Formats: sequence, structure tokens, C-alpha cells
Amino acid sequence: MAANYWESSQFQRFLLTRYELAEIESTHMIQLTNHEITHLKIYFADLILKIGKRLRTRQEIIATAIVYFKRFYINNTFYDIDPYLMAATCMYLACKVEENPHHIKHIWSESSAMFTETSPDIRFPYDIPDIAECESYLLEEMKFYLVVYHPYQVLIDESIKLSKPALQASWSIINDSYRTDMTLVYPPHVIAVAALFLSRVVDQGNLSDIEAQQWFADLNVDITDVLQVVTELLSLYKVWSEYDEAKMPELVSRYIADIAASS
Amino acid sequence: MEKYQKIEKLGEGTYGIVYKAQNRETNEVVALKRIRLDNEEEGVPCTAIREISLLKELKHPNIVGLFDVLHTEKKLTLVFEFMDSDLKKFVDAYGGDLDPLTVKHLLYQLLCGIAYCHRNRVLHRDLKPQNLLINKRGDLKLGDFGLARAFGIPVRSYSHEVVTLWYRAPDVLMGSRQYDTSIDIWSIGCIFAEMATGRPFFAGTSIDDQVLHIFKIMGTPIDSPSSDVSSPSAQQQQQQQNGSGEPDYARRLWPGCAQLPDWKRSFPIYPGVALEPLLPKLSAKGIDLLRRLLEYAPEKRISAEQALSHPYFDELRNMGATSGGSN
Ligand SMILES: Nc1ncnc2c1ncn2[C@@H]1O[C@H](COP(=O)(O)OP(=O)(O)OP(=O)(O)O)[C@@H](O)[C@H]1O
Ligand SMILES: [Mg+2]
Repeated sequence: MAANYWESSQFQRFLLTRYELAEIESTHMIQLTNHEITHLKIYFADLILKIGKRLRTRQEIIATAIVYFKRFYINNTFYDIDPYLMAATCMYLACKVEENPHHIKHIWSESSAMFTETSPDIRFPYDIPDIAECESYLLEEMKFYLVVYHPYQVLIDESIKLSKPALQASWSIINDSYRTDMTLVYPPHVIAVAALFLSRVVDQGNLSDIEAQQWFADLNVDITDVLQVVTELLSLYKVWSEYDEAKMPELVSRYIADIAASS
Repeated sequence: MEKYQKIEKLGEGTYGIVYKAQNRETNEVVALKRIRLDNEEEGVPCTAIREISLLKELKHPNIVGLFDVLHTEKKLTLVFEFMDSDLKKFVDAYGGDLDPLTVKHLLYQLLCGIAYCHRNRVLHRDLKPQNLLINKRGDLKLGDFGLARAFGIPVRSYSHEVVTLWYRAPDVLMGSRQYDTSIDIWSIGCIFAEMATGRPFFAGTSIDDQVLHIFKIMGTPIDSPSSDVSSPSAQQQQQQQNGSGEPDYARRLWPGCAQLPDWKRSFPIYPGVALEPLLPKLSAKGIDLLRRLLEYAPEKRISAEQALSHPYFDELRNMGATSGGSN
């Protein structure tokens, strides 16, 4: 897997440096504070996760959909394509690529139901052909490079034999990592190792999730390489504790209106 | 104006038409696979998505090159490297009579291509002569990845109806859903025999008939006596083999076969036949390799990587003809 990752389009075409990512954010998201940017990332990762849960798809498929979403908005803004429509479309495409296809109608109805359930302020005035059309923009944007590698595979792979709690803890930290853009910047095994590192720390203490999150937030780790990821995860946990989903639809609308006004 | 000028129709598949065409600017000759997107309700077909996504990642001299994907509202066009023929047409053009060295060259390339796929955790699942492309230089490349999939973990059951019957592995025919790289290896065994004889090796007309075709030649498989002592067929088999000293007994051993979902106690018992008279073109080494490719027990079936170092290919190695696509 690892050998193959270096030949993959994910490594050769889509991997960004942290500077490139910062550059993109500074051009696209000029109107937002850093916290707001992070909250938007959490929000859309959560929405895609919620669609995935309704479809009962595997976690890797959800992760693939989130990566597609992030890839699309590297060169496009929320004003170009409505992010709610794109979220549903990413899930639709990821299911096909990972050979777990759902009818477009099913994706559409589950997505609309989920948006309605999440907030009355989310507008989703789209129909089935809109998802099909949106899929073609997404495919074009990614130049049909669709295979995505994830840290999960690294964890499951032969060499590391993890205890069940350690595996579960690392797994859920990897889930959390998709609420940041680190998947665009670091190879999957780097993220896997960072997650493993953090999970070891939790495993020892028998902490609950909330305690663990708080503990990660307070923990001031600063070693090298892999620990950059650990650091980013820790700062995610910090900003996440201030996250309020109810405020997000308004933030999205305001942000899109700002882009519209400035273009 | 369109970028490519169609020259002629090359083939028609389940989800599109394949044309020979020429790039108007560069004059490069290519193959175009057109997929109509008339179903507005379903987006791009899953098979096309699979083929594109895998070919975009797999780059190897024995895998057909995907140059470009052209996407319009009404159709999707995959632009492939042009190949002069496929293995079926190629064998037919020789009246089924390929010379043994050509067979060896083609098989070697087929194994190189599939070894690369398997290293990259991709199963082809639809290996058959029509899906193996050949050009004038004698290069063989795997095509048609519409049914291929990347085999990730965890293993779950794959959709059932994938490999064309004649090339389908016996474990899959008898209902196994946990298949892996070994299904491609069985197909390669069938293709090897077909190249050597000019005719399909096991040409069944239904699943049951396909199973019987295999049993008649390879012998009805025998579950391992230790795991299934009570099975009358196993006892009967042992007596038979003790009585006659039949050497094919070991080749028919397949521990666990009686546990497959569609195994039938009523399967007729065939002793199997000697392969040599059926395949006069193959040397003893060739027969040995074929037996290993057509091994009943999936976990004992040779891997593509191992097959490449089989002595059958020593001749190519001595000629220095194995560098082409081995890596
Ligand atoms: N690159 C190519 N160069 C030359 N001929 C080709 C090429 N690709 C495909 N063909 C021809 O077109 C035929 C159909 O192609 P292919 O198998 O890819 O399509 P398909 O729609 O998946 O077919 P099916 O699913 O029925 O096997 C091939 O058997 C071959 O004869
Ligand atoms: Mg075909």
C-alpha cells in the first residue's frame, strides 16, 4: 500500500504543502476568521458524515466523499457551486467509486431529509438532475482521478497489531482528522501514526470522549514530523469545543453573500 | 470541430462502442470508447467510473494506457492507446494455431500485467481473450477494467455475476463470495490453455454445465479426508485411489470444497484426464505451470508473481526477452 501510495495521483497530483494550503485559504476565505474557517470545515465534514450514516456506508467511503469535497473547493468557492449540493454529490460519487453504489434518487432523498433535520435554515432547492450535473463538475475538477488512500488502511494493514481499544481510539481520531484539511497535506501513514500516538495516550488513562477531547486540547505536545499532525489535531479539538452547528447555516449564507459582493 | 476523427468501429461492448480514431492535430491514432449518458437520472455509469478511476492510477507496459477522458453532456469518451487487435481476434486470425513461443510471450506479458494489478490491490475479474489487447509488435495489454475493483479491506462479498463463465474459477462457480486474486489466476490458466489449443478449454453453457466441464478434465475435487471423513464421496475416492494408485488424487484434493454454498453431493465423480494429449503444443514445463494456474484450492493456486519465475519461462529469460514489462 505504502509503495503504491507514492505512485498514486493522490501523492503526485493532489498533495499540497502547508504553504500552498494557507495561500488558498487566504485568497478564498479572506472574509473569515480562522475559527470560522475551522468551523466550516467541521460543519461540512459532519454533514457528509450524516449522509453516510443514513446510507449506512463504510467510514472509508465517507472519508473519500469528504476528500472530494475539499479537492473541489481548492479551485472553486462556495459561490461557484452550492456546498450543500456538492456535499450530496460527493457522497454519491464516492459510493460509486468504492463499489457501493446507491441510486441517485436515494442519495437525493436522504440528503434532503438530513438537511431538513439538521436545520430549517438550510436551503436545498435541488432535484435529482442537479446532482447528476454537479457530478460532472466534480469529475472535471478532479480530472477523473478518483482513488483516495486513507489512514484507516494503514491501521488495518498487516504489520501493526493493535488491541481493540487502541484500534477504536485511533480510528475515531482518524475520523476527526477529516474535520481539518490535513488529508490534503500529509500522507495517510503520517496521519495514522499521529492518531496511533494520541490513542496510546488516551488508552492509558481510560478517559471518556469528552475528557479525552479536553485532554488533547490541554496537552501541549511539540515533537517533530508526525507531531505536526498531532499539533493540528490538538488545535482542532480546541476550536471544536467552541463549535455550534446551529450557527453554521447563517455563517455559510453570510460567507457566500460576501464572495458574491466581492466578485 | 471534434478533436478526433473516427476511422472505423472496432468493437461493441456492454456499455459502449469502441472506435479507431485519429487526433486531427497530432495525427496520433487512438481507440475511443464512447459511453452514452442518456440516463440523466443516474449520472456516469458505475462501470465507467471504475474503469476510469483504476486506469488513472495503473501505469504499466502491459496495461492499456488511458490518455484522456472527454466529457460532454451527452457522452463520455475514453481515449485509449490504440491496439491492433484483441487476443480472440488474434488467435482466430491464426486459425487457432499460434506457435508455442508466441504463446509463451503472450502468457508472460499477461502475467506481468496482472502481477502489477495484484501488487496494487486491484482485481481484474473479467479476464478473457476479448479483453486482452494486442498490437503489431506483439505487445499484450490488459483492457476493459469495467468490472475491476480495488480490493480493500475489510473483505466483504463482491457482486456475484462478474467473470464470464468460461474463465470463471470453480470456487466462484460454486458460490464462494470471498474471492481474491486467485480468481484472475484461474482465468489466466483458461486463457493459457486456449492459446495452446485454439479453442476455449472449459466451454460450459450454464453454471452447472461449466462446473461439469471443469470436473471432466480436472477430475471431481475431493475434500480433505481429515476435515470430511464421513463424506461418502471422500471414502469412495480414497478407495478408488488406493485401488488403482491413481496419481491424480492429489491434484483433486481441495480441502473445504464440500463446504462451498453450491457444492452438491450428487456431483458425478470424474477421475480427470491427462492434460498432455489435450495440449500437445505444451512442453512438460508448460503443463506443470498450467496445473498450478488451474489448482482447485484458491489458496494453493500459484500467484502471478510466482508464475513469472516458473521454469516454463526460462526460455524467454535465456533469450533476454523478459525485460519488457516485468516491472
Ligand atoms: N485500445 C483499444 N485498441 C483497439 N481495440 C480495442 C481497444 N479497446 C477495446 N478494443 C476492442 O473493443 C472491444 C470492446 O472493448 P471493451 O472490452 O473495453 O468494452 P466493453 O464495453 O467493456 O465490453 P464487454 O463488457 O462486453 O467486454 C474489445 O474486445 C476490443 O476488440
Ligand atoms: Mg470487453
